[in-house]
Amino acid sequence: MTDSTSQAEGGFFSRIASDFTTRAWVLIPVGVGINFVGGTLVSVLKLPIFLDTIGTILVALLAGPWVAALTGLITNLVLVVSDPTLIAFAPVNVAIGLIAGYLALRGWFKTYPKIVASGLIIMLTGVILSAPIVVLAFGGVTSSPSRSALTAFFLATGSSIWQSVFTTGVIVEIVDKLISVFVAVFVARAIPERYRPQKAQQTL
Amino acid sequence: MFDYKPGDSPVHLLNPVTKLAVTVGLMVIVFLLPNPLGPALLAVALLGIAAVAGFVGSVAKLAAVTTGPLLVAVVLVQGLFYTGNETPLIVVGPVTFWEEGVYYGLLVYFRVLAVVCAVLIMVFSTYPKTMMVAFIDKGLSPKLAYVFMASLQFIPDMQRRARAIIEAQQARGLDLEANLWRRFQALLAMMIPLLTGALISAETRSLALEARGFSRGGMRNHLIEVPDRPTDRVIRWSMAATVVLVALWRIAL
Repeated sequence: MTDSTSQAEGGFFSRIASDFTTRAWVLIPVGVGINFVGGTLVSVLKLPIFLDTIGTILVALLAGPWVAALTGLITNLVLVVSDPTLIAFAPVNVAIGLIAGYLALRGWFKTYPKIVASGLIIMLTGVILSAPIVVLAFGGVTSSPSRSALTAFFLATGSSIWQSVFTTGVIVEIVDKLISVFVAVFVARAIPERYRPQKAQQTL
Repeated sequence: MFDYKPGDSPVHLLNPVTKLAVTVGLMVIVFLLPNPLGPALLAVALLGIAAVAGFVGSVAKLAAVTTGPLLVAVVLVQGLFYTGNETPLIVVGPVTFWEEGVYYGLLVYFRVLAVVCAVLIMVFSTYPKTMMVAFIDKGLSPKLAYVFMASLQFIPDMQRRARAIIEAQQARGLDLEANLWRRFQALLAMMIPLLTGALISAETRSLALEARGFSRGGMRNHLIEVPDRPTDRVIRWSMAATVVLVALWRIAL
């Protein structure tokens, strides 16, 4: 496939630009769609998780960190049409894309123990970045009542607002991110060779 | 999901870049204002603007739905546990609500409410294609504009695919009421066909785009034109001036 950016040589920015092939560009809307539809599947199956970053992680596996970061950003900008408060969490989704992408490039999605470790690293990234947003912009709560109740419980035990929000984040996200990572890996492996982008040879 | 409501009010006719600038300016201003009254008044003013644009009902309803749980949670949590709590407001048995916490909770809530109203007005009054053309005119890369538009259109498409696959797998014996572990396995049975289908269509799409010169550089022409009127420039500059003034006022205090 021809691409104007493929002649780019050396250097950090041109390496980023060379990630953005036409195939990578068309993967972004797919990633955004997957991020969105994860929520639909979870509600149909009545599973107690969110699965709202599978698309970002999958794009990270298939097209590298920068394409995944852009997928994360566009997800939260576009999903303003379903929940305007999501816009505040755009930096979290961008960071998840970057971290997942760099882990993938270093082969952290190749064996099961490493996939678990990647899931935990991604979870911590998400929790660390979302905590300041939750505390400073939303007063420690979110629009999810069960999550707010958990934070209130930790506050009642005497923890500070930061500790409470952080602990809530870890408890709520840990299962979610581990499942997201495994689903992304299984799906990426299940993609027929012919439709697998080049980057995936390196990451899977 | 909610989207564009056609109309020809002054709000609809503004350049989308102006609307985005005003929304971003308001986000900065509400977080600079120190008490709940300012953001609350801004939210009311925004509802007034929505009334001018002719969709005040939808804005009010959606803002209430999306921020309602937040109002309850933030007032309860901050009313009970805010670190600056000193003055008891209501005492119910062993539980005390504190004035400072409720005040802070309301500040957080009205800030979020004002931003949500501004975003809703922008989404309701702007046709997505006009928005992208306006941004390309201001120097946004056409590729970025494409992924933004494509993502927006892809979401309902993906939802349709997901429904079709759920029904197809149910016809093959997928049990939505099975135990938790089985339902987790069912997730993969849905995700893999959904994603493989989406990726194959992405491949087709990339060939189609390439055939239409997607990765060529140079100027693009647009089917629709989005005017940038003097009023737009006046609004943008006065918004910038207001942000600077509010910031100076907060620093001076």
